[in-house]
Amino acid sequence: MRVGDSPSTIDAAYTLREGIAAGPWTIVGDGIIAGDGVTNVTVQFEVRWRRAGALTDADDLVITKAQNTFQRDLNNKFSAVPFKTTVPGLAAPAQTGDLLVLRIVALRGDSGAVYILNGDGQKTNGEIPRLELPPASSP
Amino acid sequence: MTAQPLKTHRPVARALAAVLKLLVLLLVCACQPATPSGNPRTLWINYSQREIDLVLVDYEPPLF
Repeated sequence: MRVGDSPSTIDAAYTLREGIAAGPWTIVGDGIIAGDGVTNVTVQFEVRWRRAGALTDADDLVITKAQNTFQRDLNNKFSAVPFKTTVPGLAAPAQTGDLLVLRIVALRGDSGAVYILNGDGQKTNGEIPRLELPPASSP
Repeated sequence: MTAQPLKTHRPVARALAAVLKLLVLLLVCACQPATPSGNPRTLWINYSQREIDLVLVDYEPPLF
């Protein structure tokens, strides 16, 4: 995904089985930064709850979000730049079939900056991006 | 002289066969995934069809 270009936003969704309790979310967003002369790009990660059948994101609830400025190591251009954070999240009284959406937005950065999710995992000295949900609340 | 089945062993053979069937049945049942309930604790990003078509999955995907 490229800053200010198409697509500058990517969504990834999961069909929920039940609601989500309020609590800490861990976001792992390791990425490869590309582009001629590019040294940094700022990326936002949003976790959203979307009701089943919703046609747009207008009524999404943003459960939590975090952003990071990835600083590229020019001596290891193709190594993953790590990002891992834990942030508090709201409760989402979701029903089975609702969606959990991870929205990733390239906010700003050097001209031509490209952020690529680190699908190469350890091969690029990083991890595959993931979300760790808060523990389910006690009944 | 023709070979005769060992009639005295038939009950034992039947019992063994029954035990084997039971073991196979138990093994098959044990291998069935439980009906998933609750959300997974971890969701990984994975490609669906192409690089900009992403999904969240409840298993660690192969490198993409």
